Parts: sequence; C-alpha cells; structure tokens
Amino acid sequence: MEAVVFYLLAGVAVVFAGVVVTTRNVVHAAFALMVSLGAVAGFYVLLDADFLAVIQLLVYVGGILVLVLFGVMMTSGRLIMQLRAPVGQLLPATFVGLILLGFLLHVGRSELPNNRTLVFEDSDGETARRVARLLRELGAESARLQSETARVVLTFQGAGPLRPEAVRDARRAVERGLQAARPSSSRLYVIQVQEVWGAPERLQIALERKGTPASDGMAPLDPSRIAEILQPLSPREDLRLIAVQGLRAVRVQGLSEAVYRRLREDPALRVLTPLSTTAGLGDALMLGEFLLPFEVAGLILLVALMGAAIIARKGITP
Amino acid sequence: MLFRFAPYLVFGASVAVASVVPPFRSSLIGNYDLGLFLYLAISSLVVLGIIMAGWASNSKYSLFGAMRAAAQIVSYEIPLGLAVLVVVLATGTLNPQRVVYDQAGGVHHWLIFRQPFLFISAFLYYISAIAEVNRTPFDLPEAESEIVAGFHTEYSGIRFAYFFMAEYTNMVIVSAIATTLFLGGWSGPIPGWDLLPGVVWFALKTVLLVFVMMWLRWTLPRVRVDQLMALCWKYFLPIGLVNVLGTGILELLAQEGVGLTIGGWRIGPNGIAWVVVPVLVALLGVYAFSGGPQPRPAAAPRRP
Repeated sequence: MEAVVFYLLAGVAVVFAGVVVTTRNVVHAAFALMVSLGAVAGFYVLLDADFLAVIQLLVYVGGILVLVLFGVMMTSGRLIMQLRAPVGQLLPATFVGLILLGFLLHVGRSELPNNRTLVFEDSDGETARRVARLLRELGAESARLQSETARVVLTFQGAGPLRPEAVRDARRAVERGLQAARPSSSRLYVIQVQEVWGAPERLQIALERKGTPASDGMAPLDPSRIAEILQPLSPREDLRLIAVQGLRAVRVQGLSEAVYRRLREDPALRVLTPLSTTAGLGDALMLGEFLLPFEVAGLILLVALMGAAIIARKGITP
Repeated sequence: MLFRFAPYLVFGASVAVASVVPPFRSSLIGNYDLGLFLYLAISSLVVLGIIMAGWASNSKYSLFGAMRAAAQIVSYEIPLGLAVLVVVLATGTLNPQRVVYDQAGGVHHWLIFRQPFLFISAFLYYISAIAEVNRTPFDLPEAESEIVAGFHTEYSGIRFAYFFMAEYTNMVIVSAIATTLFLGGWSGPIPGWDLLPGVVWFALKTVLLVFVMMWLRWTLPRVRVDQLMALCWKYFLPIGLVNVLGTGILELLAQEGVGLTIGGWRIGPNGIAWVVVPVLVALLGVYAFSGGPQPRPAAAPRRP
C-alpha cells in the first residue's frame, strides 16, 4: 500500500516537474510546480515527517509559489515568454547541474551513518530480550541497548465523570508542584494530559524528560521521587492522585537505516512516540541541529523573491 | 483545464481546514499536534485557486479580481498568523483540542478574557479572517460596482456554485476556529452547568460569529484598496507584533512566579496587565488625538 502511494506520488511529482521546465507559459509552469511540490509534501507524510510536510505546504506552495505568480501577473504584460538561455549561460548551468546530479547520486549510494534511535515500550522485560535477539540476528554490532524509565504516568481519580476544567487544573497543579520542588524543574519535563478511554472519571498526565538522558548527563526519571513531590498536592477536592507509574522502555541507539526499518515494522514491538509540545519544537528549531536548515530555508525564500522580481522585470524593460 | 479545476481547488482547500476544528469533547477531529499550523498552511492554498480562476478566465475583470484577492489574502495572512501565534504562546500547544481544554470551566477562563493582549488578538483575528474570506467590507476581489463579479465573473453553473459554497464554508469554518481559539470552543460559559452538550455550545458560538459577519456585511460600505492595505500593514501588523511581545513577557513573568498579594488575594501577571495595558492604550489614544502626529493630506486613491 505504502509503495503504491509512493510510486503514484513520485509519478505525479516527476511528470509535473517535467511540465515546469518544458512549458513556455510561465503561469502554467507555476501551477505545475504547485502540483509537484504538493506531491513532495506527500513524500514527507509517508516518511513520518508530518511537521516537514506542513512546512513544505506553508513555505513552498503557500509562500514561494504565490510570490512568483503574484510577481509575474502584477508586472508582466506578456505571459508567454521565450525563455531561451544564451550559450554563455548554458555552460555554467550544465556544470552546476552535473555537480548537483553527482551529489544526489553520491548521497543515494552512500551508507548513512548508524545514528537512528528507537524507543520501545517494555512493561515486562520481554521486549528488551526480543530486541537484543533481533539485533544479533541482523548483525547490528554498533547498536547500544539501554533499559530506562522513559515516561511517568500520573493517574487521577475523580468522584464522577471529570469536567474539562478539572483536566486543566490537574495539569496546572502538576506543573506548579514540579516547579515548587525545584525552581527550574518544570522546564525539564514535557507534560501532556491524556484521557482514559472508557473511564471518564479518570485522567492521566504523562511526564517525559526533555532531551535524552544520555545526552545531557542528568539523572533519569525517578517515579518514586515524583510521587513524593506530588503526593501532598491535591489539585481539587474532588480529584485524587491514585497512581504514579513509571513506564519502562528500551532505548536502542546507533541503528543503521535498514535495521531501524526492520525493528520499526516488527509487529511484536510497540514504538513509544515521544510527547511533544511547542516548547520542544522551538528548542529543536532554534537551539538544536536544525538551525542551519532553518536559515537555508530563509535564504531560499530570499532567492525566490529575487527570481520573481527578475522574471517580472523582463516584461517591462524595453 | 485550469479554468475547470480552479473552483474545486478553492472549495477543497476551504473544506480541508474543517479538519482542525474540534466540535465536541473527546472528538478525534481537531485533536492532533500540528492542528493550528496545518490550518495556516492550508488556508494559504485558497489564494492559488483564486489566481488560477482569475487568470484562466481570460477576462480583465477576472484578472483584476484575482490580483486584488492575491494581494489581500497574502497581506491579511500575516496578522492572522500573529493572532494565532499569541494563542499558541499563551497555551503552549498547537493542538486545537488542548487549546479548548485550557479554557474550559466558565466564561472567565476563555482566552479572550485571560489577558488584554489576547483580547486584542481576538478582534485582530476576526477582522483579518473576514478579510481573508473576502466578505464585505473587504470584498474587493468581487466588488460588483467596480469589476462585475471579480475572479468568478466568467463562471456559471456548478463551478460558480462551488465558488459560492467555498465562500460560505469559509465563513463558517473561520468562525468555528475563532470560537475554538478565543471563545472556549465546546465548553459552556457557566462552570458546573451542563444543561447543553458541548457540540450545541460550539454551534451556538459559531453561528453567533457568522451572524456578526452577515450583520457587518449589511452595515458597512466597502473600503478602498489603499485603505485596505493601510489597515493591514500600518495598523494590524504592528498591533499583532506588540501582542506577541506582550504575551511572551506575561508568560515569562508567570513562569517566574511574579505577582502581587493584596489583602489575601493573589494577582498574577495577567491581572496586573488588565490594569496596566488599558491605561497605556488610553494614554496612547490621548496622545494620538491631541497634537500627536499631524494628519497628512489624503492621498489620491490608487488603482492596482
């Protein structure tokens, strides 16, 4: 199924990209580009990169394309243009194109570094053994296995079905409790509220550490310590904290791409997707490894702006 | 081919936005972590369909309408995005369902009444949204008295119907999003009073906002193009930026635990802001209306 969708999208992207470079009509080219870029957003969804897919829609389809169309239509009288490149431009263009092609082929053929990470739920310790056995079978020597408490789940119990405001108050109480225990500690945790399906009088709040324990050298999550902090606090008189559970998990680091895919698709293993908030997003974009791509995206927007201006000027200069 | 495809693109993009609005508690619609971001991304696709329609009609009125639409929608997307950003800053989530949970439990918890910057943002969002969906007083792309019917002059039959369905769908959805972001979504106005189910509250608030849109349509005359652009770039954009800055400062102060205690009542940064910001706005108003910047001679109306 995934393969069918992939080839469908790939066909659409390639065909419409072909239309972009062959058509003589600038507006047709722009709309063909829209379809092509939309198909690329589809690829990102298939690769589990939802955020990137939305960025693709927002920046390329919604931003650059509108800019180009707007520039062309506002200023140029002639829409059918003879975009013929002089020979002087042909040579450097071929050179740059070949370099780009070589680069893409190199990336496509080269081995990716073994740096993928997966986290699996491991309530009974069985998963750790299964993952270890699978890794041995697949011959993944570089992988490192680590058993840890990946998440703490607080369960609250109300008198009857919970009101929405109880949900909010419970979350705020947890935030305040953690903050009172250590002034900066609320920023160390990602806090997310989860409803319990089929039990409307219950409420779960999940806590996760920001970042990976190995990377910042801090102590891992400790359920008993968190229970100690939060036990005396009662967010509302009709809401009691009844359980603090640590969710055991296996963290596997240093996986190659092939092993990563094999493990992810194993039906017996449950992948633990990390909790997410906007704060984490900001950290990743502004302070983490994505700062450079983020700036490059800004540069591309600038180039598109200049390109639109140049295309638009062609029509009016004598 | 572009002529035939355009109405479906406009309508499709309008309806796709509906997927980010949670209509009731425990709804799976609108309960995902990129919701508000997806809303901003999809809503910018509508303008492509409008340009497509205006250009492919091969008529000067359609092209004028499409160009006006492009300029207007692209401009008003910025204050719209800033207003949504203020909500994201205040609630710390992009998930629309979580935004509603954050304002549950009575009218005093609704985001519009949480702090003054959000109050301003709500109006900023609503006015920008009216401009974004091309309703009067901002219906320049289809101004009957000037350019026949704008970008859909040359359409008839079911394709014309799709344009109109898109316009009315857009009105309802934009109102639904305003309800979700600022008016508490499906939560009722009185705490502990569950007379009506959440979806009814949600529908009531949405219909109220749609009613205000229609009311404005029959009350206000159409603005000029230069007034429209001045409103966006000279007023809404700076106000939106100040809102983002102010909300950021208030959130930071709340995180540091700043507050006053007067007679056993603890007042947080939001309460203090409710006193300080209106005073500042009033002072600014007095300054502007008494010997502030001198009024310039009115510029001649420009035509695009």
